[in-house]
Amino acid sequence: MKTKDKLGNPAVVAAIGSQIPWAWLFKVGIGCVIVYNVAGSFKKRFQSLSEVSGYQTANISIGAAKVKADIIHQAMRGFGNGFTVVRENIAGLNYNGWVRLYNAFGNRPDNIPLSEDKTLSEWFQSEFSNNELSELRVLIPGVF
Amino acid sequence: MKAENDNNLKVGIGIAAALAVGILLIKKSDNGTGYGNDPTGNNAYPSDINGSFNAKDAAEKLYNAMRESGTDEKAIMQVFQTVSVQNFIKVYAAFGKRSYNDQLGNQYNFNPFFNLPLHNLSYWLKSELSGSSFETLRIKYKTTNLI
Repeated sequence: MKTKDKLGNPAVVAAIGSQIPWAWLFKVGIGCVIVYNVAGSFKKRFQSLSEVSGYQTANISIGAAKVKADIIHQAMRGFGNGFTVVRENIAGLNYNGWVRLYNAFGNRPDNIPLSEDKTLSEWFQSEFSNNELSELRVLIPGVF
Repeated sequence: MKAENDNNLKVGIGIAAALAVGILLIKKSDNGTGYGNDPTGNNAYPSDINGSFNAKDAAEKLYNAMRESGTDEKAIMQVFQTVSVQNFIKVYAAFGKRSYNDQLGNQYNFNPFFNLPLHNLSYWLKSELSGSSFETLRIKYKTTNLI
């Protein structure tokens, strides 16, 4: 006996198709995409560090931190990884000084198109070898 | 009923007063004069001002990482992550001067007529470390004029 797929019946398919709220599904889909992007950008937003009042005050001004952040970014972004420039510019910073530098750096773009912006710590992790990171941690331990 | 209300009021005032005292105490201990526990150690006042840092132990770790042919550079840099500028002076003194074979980079002496020369920590480090690592140490500790 020949069985017939009910969904193959054009009349049934048309009836079911008319019951699916395509417009509503489309709106929900668009909404999900927007929420996903907003949540993603919220999650990826720069979260600044707070200075610790119990530690010694920062041994660098906010303006100097911004200048250093620019120099470091240019050095890492340019030819090579800029290790010697980074080394010179982070040497001697105390914790609150590091916080000012980190916050002044914020999230900055890489040379690679479509790559996400990175914090200073993320830049260090992506640019430097373990030996280089070890050297930087001698200069300013316990912060990255 | 009035007595119960008075009692509750007293308890409430007591709790509020205790909270206020607690907040004041926390604020007082966080007034920026402690300088304790800054992980960088890069302060005018060392974080281990109470003398908990063991310079002799650090000096021996450095010596053990350098004494044989081949250098455990990773171990050396790990030690220096815990040594502030102020404490480098102590480590330098604790290391003192130790015999060193310049040719072999160890302490073997095949000359029965002469002792190996004695050298300080800076000399050992310069001989044993890569140029980059030594330069990093020099940048950190240059204010001591010992390296």
